[in-house]
Amino acid sequence: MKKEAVTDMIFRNIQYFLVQGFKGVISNRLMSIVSIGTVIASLVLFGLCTLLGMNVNYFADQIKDQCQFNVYMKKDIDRDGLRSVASQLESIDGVESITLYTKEDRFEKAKEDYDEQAKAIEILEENNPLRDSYIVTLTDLSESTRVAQLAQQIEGVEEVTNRQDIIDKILKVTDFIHNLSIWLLVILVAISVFIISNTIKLGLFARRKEINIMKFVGATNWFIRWPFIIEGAILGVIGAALAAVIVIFVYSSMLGSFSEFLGSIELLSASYASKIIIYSFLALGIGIGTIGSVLSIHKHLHV
Amino acid sequence: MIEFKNVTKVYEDNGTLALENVSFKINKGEFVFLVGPSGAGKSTLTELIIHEEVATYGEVIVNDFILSEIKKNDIPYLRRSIGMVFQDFRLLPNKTVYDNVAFAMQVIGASRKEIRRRVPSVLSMVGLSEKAKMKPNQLSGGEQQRVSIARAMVNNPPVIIADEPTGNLDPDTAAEIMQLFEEINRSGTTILIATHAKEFVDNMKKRVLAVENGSLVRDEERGGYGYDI
Repeated sequence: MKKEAVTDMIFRNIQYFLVQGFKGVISNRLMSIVSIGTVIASLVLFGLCTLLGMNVNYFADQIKDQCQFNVYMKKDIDRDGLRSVASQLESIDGVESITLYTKEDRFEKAKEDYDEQAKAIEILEENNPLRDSYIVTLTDLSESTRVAQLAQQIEGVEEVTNRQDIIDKILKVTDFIHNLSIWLLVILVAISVFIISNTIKLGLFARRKEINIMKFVGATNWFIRWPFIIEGAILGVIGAALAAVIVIFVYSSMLGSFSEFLGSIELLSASYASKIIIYSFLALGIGIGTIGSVLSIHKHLHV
Repeated sequence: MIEFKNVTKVYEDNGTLALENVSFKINKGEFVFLVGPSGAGKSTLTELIIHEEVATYGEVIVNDFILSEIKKNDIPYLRRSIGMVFQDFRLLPNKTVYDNVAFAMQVIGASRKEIRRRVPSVLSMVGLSEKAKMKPNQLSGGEQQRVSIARAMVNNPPVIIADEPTGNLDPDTAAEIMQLFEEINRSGTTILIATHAKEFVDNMKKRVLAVENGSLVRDEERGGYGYDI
């Protein structure tokens, strides 16, 4: 056969498979809706979990980026003591700079922060319960634990609040969400694949007469299989597209209300999240649909 | 064209011996009736030809395909070389007469141009040009069988196999269908018809293969049906 004739035949066949795939989705309406619904439910749950995990991760990164911790002095420390602590802190390898934050400054800040209770706080001014502290900025966050340990040993230092604790906790939460997402993905994908596989099985059953005719007039096995594979992929893609719309809409709406609540902490932008959701959902949708139909064909279509 | 060499078929699931040591050869352009009581092995024989079933022993050769050695990917090409006609017509009810016939070309990758050229000519040969746009349920049994024959011959196969093609038809219509097979045969196509239609087998005086209890008991040029109905 000439090259153009082969290309023409391939193009014709692809067109036929697509048309038959869409026809399958429409003629098997009820099960198609159930399949699409299952894909939507699975991917929405998975998508929201993934975005939550990604945001927690992003939040941890932001804290890491700050690269700072507080070194609190003992309450009775005097100016000389403070200077001595300062010089020892500055001599620690990995410390970029230190800033003194006196108990008076902290008291003023507290008054500003708790404006409504300012009068009550003023009563404490004579006997300020707060402590002087140094804010230590590190050259590298990985030095955090070592620097904190050395700072803790300096005479006059009472407590070091190392943000590593918080970061570790956040990382634990991220890990948990990550694992949860993976398990959700596995379970929900399995359910979706099962439902799509059953939808295709019904399609195979409904079109058994057609398949039988195709067999005895000499259609190749792949010619018979492709429309069903495409039908599965279409179900997956429609489900994935609708799920992506829902997740992006929910995320964008939540972003507005949460950003006020979270103050300086940033969340992943809607456009970045949308990109990730669209690409991953489409890949998952096609994957789920194709696997579902291939399983069904393998089990029920003996050509 | 079609050759059976000492073919035996045993169904593995229930151990039934369907054909035993059957040998015959059908040459290009022949018209052959396959007769025998129900359950004698006629359907098994046609299923072996289209590779729906596989011989347990012996060799089946169809249109140069040696079926014991045929690759899975070549089975569709074997089937393209055989047109099948069934007692129950096996038409797609939601497609028109034209589309039912075109479907057989479409699934083997024929171009639209080829389909537009060939389908009307085949429908004209079976006398259904006027009914191309009708659905099978708007046709009589005889007309439905003509559609089925048109579909079997549309891809120009060298062999047409018909399994009880007149089984569901009244005698007049059956006669028309048999006449149609004769016309097709005159154009050089080999015809093998499995049938219980005694009258036609007796009158048409074609080669007859008779199967009983899985064995080929008669191979007769210009034979008769040979059984009482």
